[in-house]
Amino acid sequence: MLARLSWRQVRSSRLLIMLLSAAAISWLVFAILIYLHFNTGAIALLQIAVNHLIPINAGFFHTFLGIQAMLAFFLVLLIIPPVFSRDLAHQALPYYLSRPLSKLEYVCGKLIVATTLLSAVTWLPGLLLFGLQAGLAGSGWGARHGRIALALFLGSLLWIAIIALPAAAISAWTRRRLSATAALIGWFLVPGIFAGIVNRGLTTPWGDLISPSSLIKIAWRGLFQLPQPAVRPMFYRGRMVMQAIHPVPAGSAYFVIVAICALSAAILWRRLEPLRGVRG
Amino acid sequence: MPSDPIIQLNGLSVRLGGREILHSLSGELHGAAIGLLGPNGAGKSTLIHTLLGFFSPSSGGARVLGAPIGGRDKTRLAHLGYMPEYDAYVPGLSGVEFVRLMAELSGLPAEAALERAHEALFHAGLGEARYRRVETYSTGMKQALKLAQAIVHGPRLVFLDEPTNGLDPAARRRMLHLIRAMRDGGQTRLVLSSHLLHDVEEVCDEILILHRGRIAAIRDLEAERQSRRGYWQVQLAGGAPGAREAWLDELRRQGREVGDLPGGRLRIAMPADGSALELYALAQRYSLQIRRLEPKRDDLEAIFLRAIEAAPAGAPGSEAISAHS
Repeated sequence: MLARLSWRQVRSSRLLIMLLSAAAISWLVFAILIYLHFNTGAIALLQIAVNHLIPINAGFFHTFLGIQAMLAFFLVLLIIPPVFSRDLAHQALPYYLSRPLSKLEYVCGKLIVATTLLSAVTWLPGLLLFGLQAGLAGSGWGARHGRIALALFLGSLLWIAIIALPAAAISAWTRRRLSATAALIGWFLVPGIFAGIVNRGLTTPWGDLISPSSLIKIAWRGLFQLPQPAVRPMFYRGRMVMQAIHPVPAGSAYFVIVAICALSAAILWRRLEPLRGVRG
Repeated sequence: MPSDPIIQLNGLSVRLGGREILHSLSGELHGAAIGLLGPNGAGKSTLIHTLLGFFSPSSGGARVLGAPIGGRDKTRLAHLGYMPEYDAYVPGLSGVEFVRLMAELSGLPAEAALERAHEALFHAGLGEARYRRVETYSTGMKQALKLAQAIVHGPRLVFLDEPTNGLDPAARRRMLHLIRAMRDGGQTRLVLSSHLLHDVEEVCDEILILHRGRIAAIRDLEAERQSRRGYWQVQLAGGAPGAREAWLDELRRQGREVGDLPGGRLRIAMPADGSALELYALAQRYSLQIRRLEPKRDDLEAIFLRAIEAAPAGAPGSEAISAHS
């Protein structure tokens, strides 16, 4: 019932249709790129040199996930704040929790639409692309590159967790849709700025651990087994130079992501007390 | 009264924000309609919220419909209804969608929930407005909507927290009529929390009076109604200084229960034969004139005031309690 209600609250949004369409178009472009690799007729027709085509490897799927993740973030901004803030702003929580419905069931019911839509733009199309490539390549390509499929799935789950849980916690905290949306954007932008200041000021890469976007980049590179950047651009005596860095280990990023998710879940749990903020 | 208690309180204490709100409440409530009375801040809503499982007891416990309140026993919760005191709704839904959602959450299948939602809304007087969005409802309509969602699933026990709050006299009468009809239906027991004595007196057959988080009294209102003690409300005049007090002392020596009422009036228990001759004769002896002597019977206000006065925490002080709306 709660999923139906949540879906009802977002289904009429034009932005939702636009974001889902953009995700579908992005998938289609990547699917065409894969198809071109195996269709000699099309390659000849378009007069493309095969060696100029984008290679279908971990980097290809990593790029696809990056684009879909951006769309997923906008989806979260659209879907999650109204789902919680509406109930809390209108003091409706006691209606739910005085019935045979646990707080966990309430949260899951409210988040199921969001997680379904987020899955529909991240790991589901990612695995479909992987399947397409594996099917066209044949001769055990899928088995040899199984790690990519796992990275697509786990990387998407990490991303969904690190955007959906803080979004739910912030929405429950602010109780207002607009403030929640603004706070969510801030949650992704502001720590990134601080991370940059820390990195430059202390000439360290560890500042990345306070930036959600940097964290997920490190985690994804670890999952896709792509090399972490060993240099980063910086200004030195008025000139842009490349500074060598020791990359942050992916394990640290996983740890911080899990910690952020746990903290968000704890905040959400606390803010969903049935009578918190009730005005008589 | 039925033998199985609807609510059993076993030394129930509740602490919120470091302050003990309910102090070791013990007692059993059996009534078909239980009135929860007390001045503002007495702990009525906290008790209801604890019985619904929103707050955990700091010590002791309670049973509702025979089941302990700790944990989220889904069977128990499916048999409860709750009408909150404050303004609350799920926005973006029509009345019927809101009530249907609540019915489904209580475990009714979708079709039955829709049917019951229509019935409950008609019963609550919102038949015409059931397709309107709930945020457009007036205060009275929102109260009726809250009642409809509380009863839609046919609960065995409904908690009504200040159901007549903010209602105009006509809407209040309608609400009380609905509640009485629910009580008379016999399917649903109810707990009515109110600071309006008149509302409780009209609806309830048992009362629990709370005062500063403690039980001041539990009374079977039906039995009280049948055995209400009569008393005279007396207005005196004349007499030498001290004559009034001497007269009162004499009455007390004779074993009469005497008390003060507002406006300098006195409350004197009636003898079994109801004769006032002795009273007049005694007043004459002290050169006092009985200007007014009006026979009265104990009402809920008297029961309430006596309970509050006898409560260990002391007099009600400045808390608001009203006999009328």
